[in-house]
Amino acid sequence: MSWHVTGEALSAYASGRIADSDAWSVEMHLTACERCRAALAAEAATDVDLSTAIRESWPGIAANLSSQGRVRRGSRSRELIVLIAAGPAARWAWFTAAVVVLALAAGLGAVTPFGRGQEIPLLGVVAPLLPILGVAASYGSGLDDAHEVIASTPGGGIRLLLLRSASVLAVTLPVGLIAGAVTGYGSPIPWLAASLALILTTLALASVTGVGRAAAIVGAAWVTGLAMSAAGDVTQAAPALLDPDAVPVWLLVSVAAVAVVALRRQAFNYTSLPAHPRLEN
Amino acid sequence: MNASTMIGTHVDVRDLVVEFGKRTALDGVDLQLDTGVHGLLGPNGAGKTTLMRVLATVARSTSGSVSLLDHDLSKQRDLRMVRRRLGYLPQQFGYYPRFTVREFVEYFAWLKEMTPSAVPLAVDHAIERVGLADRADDRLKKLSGGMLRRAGIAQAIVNDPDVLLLDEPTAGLDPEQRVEFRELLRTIGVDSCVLVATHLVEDVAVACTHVTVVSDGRAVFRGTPDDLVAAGEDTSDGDSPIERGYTAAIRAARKR
Ligand SMILES: Nc1ncnc2c1ncn2[C@@H]1O[C@H](COP(=O)(O)OP(=O)(O)OP(=O)(O)O)[C@@H](O)[C@H]1O
Ligand SMILES: [Mg+2]
Ligand SMILES: [Zn+2]
Repeated sequence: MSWHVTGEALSAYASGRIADSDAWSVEMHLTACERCRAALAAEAATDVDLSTAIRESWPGIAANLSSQGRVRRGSRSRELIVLIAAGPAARWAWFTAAVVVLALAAGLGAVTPFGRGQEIPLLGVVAPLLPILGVAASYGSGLDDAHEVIASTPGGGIRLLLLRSASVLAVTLPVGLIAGAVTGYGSPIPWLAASLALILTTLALASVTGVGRAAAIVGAAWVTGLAMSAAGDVTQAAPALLDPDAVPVWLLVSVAAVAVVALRRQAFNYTSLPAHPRLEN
Repeated sequence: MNASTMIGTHVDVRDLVVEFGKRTALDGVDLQLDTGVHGLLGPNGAGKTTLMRVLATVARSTSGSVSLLDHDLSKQRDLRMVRRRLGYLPQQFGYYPRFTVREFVEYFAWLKEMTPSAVPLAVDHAIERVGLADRADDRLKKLSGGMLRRAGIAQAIVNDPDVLLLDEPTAGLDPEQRVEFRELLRTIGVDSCVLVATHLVEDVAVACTHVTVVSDGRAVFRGTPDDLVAAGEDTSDGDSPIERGYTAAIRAARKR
């Protein structure tokens, strides 16, 4: 805090000589500023009448005060809930869509034969794609109704983006795991690794292009890559990108993407403005 | 009386230029603002919203320097600190229809990185100050347009900002609410810098300590509301003294 209540204003406040409107401001400042509270206490202590008045009236006031406002208790977990709940990704429609798509993919993948004795690993194809779309929808597309105000807040940059990404993963990964287990899909490790790499790459790319475009690019690259690897080598049981051998590569990609995000985190200070691309000069 | 002391200037804008492609929205604006309620007047397209967005750290300037609370906005490091001390009500703002007023204001309290223990009371204070206490648990989709505007004002003031930017805050407010809103502005202006962009010259006459008139991307008048009244003494266009002053200021700028 760069400023404090002046001694003059404090003594006016302590003795009740202050205008109502100024009292408001002083009180707001006092709730936030330890230093001025201490100064006020010192000021009040020199005023014998006031000290006695406070001592005598306090029990009555305290009995009528709720310890906090009517909003839920302020805590870090409450903060997470509110920040995540505001994202479109947290909406039931999106959640339902994710569940349906993953279940369909897993089901279809299990019953549809693919070429010479292979099965389309549909779940593996779709599961890494969904989180990217979810992040794009919850952050990058301007679908967040209040993006203009959010962009002016300190918590609206990379922190909110990471939080929303984590919340999207928290929905799609378990659903994918369950769908895979039910339909007898093989090891989930390859598509889990791919999911992680894809979402982190999207975030890294987003520091340059914005979240919406990054999601589109990474999503398109994923589908193209899969199609090419499936077409190129038909003797393999699964496309190379979803092969267990690809897992270390995905992890490397993930690490590299994390490094990029960390280095370029300041780029997210302004990127929450997809509706006004010209402003991102 | 000024209840508090602030070191330096709240808003310091020097030679600010903002271009959108070939269109120049702001063309060399200088502006220094301290505590008080500052009115920003100007015709449609004058650049008021553009200036607000730059000050809200939402849009970036093409050239020129902008500093808020003694922090240069071009320094990314300081941005976070400045943003914690900002309040912003955009001209058009989206809301979450399923949120209650209280959840909506709380959402922004968290985004502004307020101390967790301070959030509940601050949220209730803000809602009370805009006169929505009795609707605090209603969902936003059930509110009227004017009430939504007030919910928007509540989120802007929840962190007791040092710089409060309100773009057309009185649009849609009924006369009684407008009167209460002006009183609210006055109390906030005691220790913060409040900048209000508006078309309503009356708002400025009643609620503001200072006025800036922008026209075609330039600040063409700066002074008190009384100065603006004085500027219009020779004209007859406009229904009130201050409207005449406003018209005269715009005309004089266009002639130049
Ligand atoms: N994102 C944008 N892209 C291109 N041009 C823009 C953009 N935002 C504003 N402009 C232009 O900049 C100029 C100033 O617009 P601005 O919205 O700042 O005016 P204003 O004073 O707020 O007007 P009003 O009174 O209608 O709200 C206008 O010519 C407008 O067309
Ligand atoms: Mg405008
Ligand atoms: Zn203090």
